[in-house]
Amino acid sequence: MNQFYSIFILAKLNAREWIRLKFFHIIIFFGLIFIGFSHMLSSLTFSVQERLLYDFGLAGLELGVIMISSLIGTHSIQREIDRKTLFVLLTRPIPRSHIVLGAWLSVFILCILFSCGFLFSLIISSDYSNYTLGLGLATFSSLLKAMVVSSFAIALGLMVRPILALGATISYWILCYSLPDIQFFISKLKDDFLIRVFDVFEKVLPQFYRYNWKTFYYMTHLPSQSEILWAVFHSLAWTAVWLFLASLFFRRKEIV
Amino acid sequence: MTVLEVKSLMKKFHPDFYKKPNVVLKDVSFKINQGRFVGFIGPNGAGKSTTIKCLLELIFPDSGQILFFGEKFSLKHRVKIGFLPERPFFQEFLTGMEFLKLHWSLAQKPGELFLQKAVEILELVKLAHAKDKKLKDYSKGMLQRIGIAQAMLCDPEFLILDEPMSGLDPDGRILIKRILKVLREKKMTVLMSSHLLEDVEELCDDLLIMHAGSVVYSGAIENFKKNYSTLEEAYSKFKVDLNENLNA
Repeated sequence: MNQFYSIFILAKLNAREWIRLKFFHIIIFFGLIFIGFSHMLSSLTFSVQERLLYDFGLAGLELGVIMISSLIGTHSIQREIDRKTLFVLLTRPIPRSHIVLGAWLSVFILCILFSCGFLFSLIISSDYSNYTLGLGLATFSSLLKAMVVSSFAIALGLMVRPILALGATISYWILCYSLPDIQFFISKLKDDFLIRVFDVFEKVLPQFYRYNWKTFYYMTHLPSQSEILWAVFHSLAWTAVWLFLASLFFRRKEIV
Repeated sequence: MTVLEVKSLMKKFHPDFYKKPNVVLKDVSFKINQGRFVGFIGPNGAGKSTTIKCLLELIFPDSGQILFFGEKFSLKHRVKIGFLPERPFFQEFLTGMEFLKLHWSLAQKPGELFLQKAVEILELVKLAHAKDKKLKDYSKGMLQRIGIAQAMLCDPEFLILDEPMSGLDPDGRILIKRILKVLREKKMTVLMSSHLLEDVEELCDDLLIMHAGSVVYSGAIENFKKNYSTLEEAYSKFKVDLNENLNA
């Protein structure tokens, strides 16, 4: 148990460091702007005010957590290596996998902090308080995606330069959403080879589109319990895969 | 008792796949016995820092063996080792006390003993007055001293100090030297990399000299300088002889 305590210590250390940096403040600032815009847009319409407010607001929330997961995830360990603050930590009796898990946990803590703040601001700034459960589930789905994206970002951030990893992480997030669209276009092309390639893609990529609950539709049509459970296990499994690969790679990474 | 034994350590770096690998360590072997203060010297690029990084598993040797207390290096040995890096890059948003607490917790030491130990160690490194100051407000000398404090905090049996006095002003050097003398009196096993021969001569019992990736001398400092009045003189003569031998 004591062994695992080091993961929490490292997560707290990382989270504290990122909270004091300007980058996190900028994301919070843009989050507030998003909430303001959501209200502005919703006030421009008569009939679908709620819909616009939540569609736009929740898109802002997801964008925020994905920015945090991808940007901080790709930079968290590499930044410590570049600043040489990792040298002394690595001489302590902690396995390297704990550094990876600590970095991931810190990113996830930052995502939770951001989404709680964002959701709270969205709820208190709107007059509609009937959708608390729907809003909670929408936030939860964004956090599940952030879990996977941050683990992917950390794994890739250890293998290539952070800027390349960042590009790849954002592409990964977009790709995981776009699978049905790609499938649609491939089916129109009627190319057997492409269909087979797509089948492989579908198996090796998380299916974010299956728990895209950040729209107004899901405020009134809540996802079923089995859908929620599937989303949780799907995200946990993908997170575990990426964190395992990250730990495996970091185990033999030379800190020069 | 042998604390550290290094056998035939080799390390190559591959800067680019199309370039020839850079051989940094060639067959490095040495032993460090308990209670000895060892000075680790050699020119820049000789492989001192690479050897230290191999000892701490920050990088991995291509071949060779590192034995701590007669066993292959593992996680449990890290509890027995304290390390001060060449440049004290620490988490600058932490206070001195928080920084020590971080390392105490990571070393899995019991929390209730921390305060007493931290106060004791801060007194030793003369930083008790700055314990609540953030590390970003510390001077270079203070950072070096808090670095020594974290290295000594968990009662290590073996200390690795990578150039503890580089870039310090005279006052800072005097203070660090006093701390190192205390360690020597306590008969702690220390490996200290340094470019300052007068400090090595004053503090160390043994000498380990590296040149171009190999250990060229390993033994007592007294034997090394027996025909000379200072270590600097002995080292200069040794280097001339070494270069002549290599040229021949």
